[in-house]
Amino acid sequence: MNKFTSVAAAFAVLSATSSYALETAQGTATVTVQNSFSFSQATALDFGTIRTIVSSADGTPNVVTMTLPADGSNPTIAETTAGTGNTRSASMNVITPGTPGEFTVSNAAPNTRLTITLPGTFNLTNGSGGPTFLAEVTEALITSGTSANSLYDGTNNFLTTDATGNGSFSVGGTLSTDASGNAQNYQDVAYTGQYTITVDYQ
Amino acid sequence: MTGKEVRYCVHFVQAFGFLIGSSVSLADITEVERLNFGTIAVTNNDSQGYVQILHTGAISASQNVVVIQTPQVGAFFFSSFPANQRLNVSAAPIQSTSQSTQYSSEQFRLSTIDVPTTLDTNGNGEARLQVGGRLTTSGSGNNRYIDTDYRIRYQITIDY
Repeated sequence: MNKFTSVAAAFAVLSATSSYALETAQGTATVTVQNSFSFSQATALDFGTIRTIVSSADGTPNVVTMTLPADGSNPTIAETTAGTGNTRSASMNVITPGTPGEFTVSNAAPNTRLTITLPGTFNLTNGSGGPTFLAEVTEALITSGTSANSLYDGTNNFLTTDATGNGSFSVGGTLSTDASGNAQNYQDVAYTGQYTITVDYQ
Repeated sequence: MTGKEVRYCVHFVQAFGFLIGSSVSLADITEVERLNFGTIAVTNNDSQGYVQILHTGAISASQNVVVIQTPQVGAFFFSSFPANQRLNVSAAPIQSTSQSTQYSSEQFRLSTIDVPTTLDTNGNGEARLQVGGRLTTSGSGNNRYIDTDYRIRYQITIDY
């Protein structure tokens, strides 16, 4: 009788054990962060070839400014600051029209808005002294994506990448004669300057 | 040997055989696809953001996390389970935060692991489990999520 009882008890325990089983396994989740993307200048902003003289002022010098649109249309020239008491006034003429700067973005997130931060003013110099030009990048024309052919405004029109994470835009700006009343004149050489544009996720 | 003794002996053998079958589990679970949250850009870490994929494959992300490459669900293959058995599924992270290939001061949390609550094996005792989840940024205000790979381990538990 004792044997039978013990066997029955064992069977009950075993039955209880067999009604519940637990299995575990470990897994790994991964993610790759790619906050950076490629942003490069495809074409340098070129204000073209011009004839210009700078104001040699005995008073307040005048300033002449060329405006180069980002859409590639011809530049315009206007006096932006009137001078007083000048012995020689600044002037400017276009010999060869300039071309907008072009920039490309790649390896960014697809179909994503990007912001463009344009630089402030910067100088173009010839490296050997004398008068300089004051330049400014004033506008960016979006040339890809949903806002293509619209000027970037950071409110309604953004640079939006395509399905492969690419985008592009062009920039235009202004070039102004030296406002300091320089006694020397511009030389027949290239004047260059550098500026920084920042593109970021919105 | 009496008839009663024979019966005891048979019972004992049966019980012993059942004991072996219960204590040595043949069930096998294999991770066949890693839960992959894809490639993302954390554009702002001033507040917590996330990228999420449900076990059904539905993807979403917060405004401050941009998905560059699409996340993919994780998958486990179950074999040698009882045929046509309903399994209860649960999951929990093992690590509190992720670890990165290159050092990054900012890490992710696996704030949610999305699995079906139950899963049925087929007639061969096999099943496939898809796993999703939500990966959450620190929201610390530090945007220094380094461009590198991050991983975090989790555990799934099956009872039946």
